[in-house]
Amino acid sequence: MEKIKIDQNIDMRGVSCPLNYVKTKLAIEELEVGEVLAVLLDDGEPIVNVPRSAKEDGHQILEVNKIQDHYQVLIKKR
Amino acid sequence: MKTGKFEINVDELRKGGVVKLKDKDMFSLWVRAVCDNMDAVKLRKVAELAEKYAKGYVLFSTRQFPIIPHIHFKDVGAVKDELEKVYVMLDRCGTRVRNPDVCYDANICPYAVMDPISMGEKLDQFWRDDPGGFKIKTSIVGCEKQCSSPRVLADVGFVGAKRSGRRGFDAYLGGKLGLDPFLGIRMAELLSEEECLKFLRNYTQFLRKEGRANKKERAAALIRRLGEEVVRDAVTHDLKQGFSTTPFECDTKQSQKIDKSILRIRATNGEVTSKQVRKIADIAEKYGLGYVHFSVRGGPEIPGVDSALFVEIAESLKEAGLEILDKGIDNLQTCFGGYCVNGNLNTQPLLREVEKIVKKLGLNDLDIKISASGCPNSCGISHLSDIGFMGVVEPEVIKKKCTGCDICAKACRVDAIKIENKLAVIDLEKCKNCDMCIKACPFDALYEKRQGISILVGGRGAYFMDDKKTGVTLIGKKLVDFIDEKRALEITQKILELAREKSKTVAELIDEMGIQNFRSFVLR
Repeated sequence: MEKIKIDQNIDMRGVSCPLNYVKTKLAIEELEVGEVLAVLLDDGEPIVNVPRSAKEDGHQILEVNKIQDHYQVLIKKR
Repeated sequence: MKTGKFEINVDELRKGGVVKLKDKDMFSLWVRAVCDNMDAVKLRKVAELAEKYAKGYVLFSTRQFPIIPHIHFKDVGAVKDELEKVYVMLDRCGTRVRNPDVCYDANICPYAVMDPISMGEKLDQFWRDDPGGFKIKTSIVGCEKQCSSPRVLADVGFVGAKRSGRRGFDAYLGGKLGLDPFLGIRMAELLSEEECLKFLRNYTQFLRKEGRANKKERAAALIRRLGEEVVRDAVTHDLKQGFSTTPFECDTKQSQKIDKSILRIRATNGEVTSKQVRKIADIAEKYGLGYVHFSVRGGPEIPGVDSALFVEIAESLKEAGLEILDKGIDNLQTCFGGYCVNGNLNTQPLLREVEKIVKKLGLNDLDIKISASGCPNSCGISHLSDIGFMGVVEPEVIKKKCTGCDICAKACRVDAIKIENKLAVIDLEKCKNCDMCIKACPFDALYEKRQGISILVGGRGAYFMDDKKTGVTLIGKKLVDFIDEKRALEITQKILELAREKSKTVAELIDEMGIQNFRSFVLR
């Protein structure tokens, strides 16, 4: 698969819901449409909730990558 | 944190009590009510904020505190600041300890054997600095009538009881509704307040040690996984040692016996407009003790009212479009329904239609309860109602879109999804039709194959009216699945007609006829 260009990174590990979503949302606000945010999220509730909320806000989830005990999610601003 | 559009204090959100709704950027704020009561001054503030920042109405929830729905993301901090001016904090949500629920002050309720408020004040302090990570609900009732249903609506339920000349709290563990309801098991009997706190301390220590946080385990899950006896040993050891805490004083606590009535007000769907909230606050000050009690079924209650004045009060309520909730069908209650992120059903319009049927049939002498939940999580306590509706969905995988990322399996609370060869496979036997997998899928690789209403029948949280059934709690049984609203209303009418004809609750009808005969009769 072609490597996706990441425009911004945030680390939401150790941040609980819904704060992780709100911070992710604020980070997306800073991007231009079409740019990609990479978010690191904990397993459990965060990985279930945050991509879902970003999707519901109309953004596109490009990839979900498992890295050891956490996840990297690539979100494209739309 | 500042951005081009918003300025918010992210710390506001850390403690919880701010819950996202379906509409973009919209949240609900859960307003804390210590001991499930709130004085008129605070209540008016809640009403004002609902008008200023939201849609001008408040939801009186099944969790026994008010919720202000539809607050924009950017206003969350401002609303929280304004609440703090009248010493009101937010309640907690998510995987956190919830504020303890209580029924009534022993100085108000004539049936109380133990004082739930005294215990509630101690629990409030006990939980104050909980670090979170696990959801723990606690509930206290003063007698075995169990008005606020602690055996099912709380992980740890303390029930005031009197046996062979001794009084104390019976301790129940494991209660929950949701996808796999569990009726709490009595783990210890006739405990003192200090022994109850020790019980709770034992439980929280055990949960933190043995509980799987990523699986959101609660008491019921521990009992199911480890067995009743293992859990019993853990929670009941050294109870005699007791545990003490300085109580956090509940500002609505009564110091003297009050020999008056409790005025209940109808609030269909738990929704009360700001104007109505102000009217209720006025009445509580003029005729009651200056505060309101939040009941499980959402009808606000004003304690300490002289029943001779009910007629006069009814006139005053009418000005704000309110009425007294008297005998007959209990308040029609729901969760967030149509505006919840998890909702699969617009419960509010459904219950408005049910209300029309109830009015048409004139069911004034029946002790019947009806409620609706937007999904099988049952926040609208559908399992504890004579007739309980739930929005249900059957999921199906779109194979070519599925990446096997595993998020749906994590979202599934009943382990019905496995990833096989990088593809999600759903076990429909295990599936509880909650729709969480579809909503969680980042790639829209799941869709709603079927959608509709499920009806539960014969549930009962508490028996207040019937002394022979004190202490009985019944979890509703599934009558029918995936029907549309028109059919749901037809069935509801049929059940209510039968209840009226036989003058019985739905649980009694099922007992008498058997669930099979009951089903074939009402579905005919």
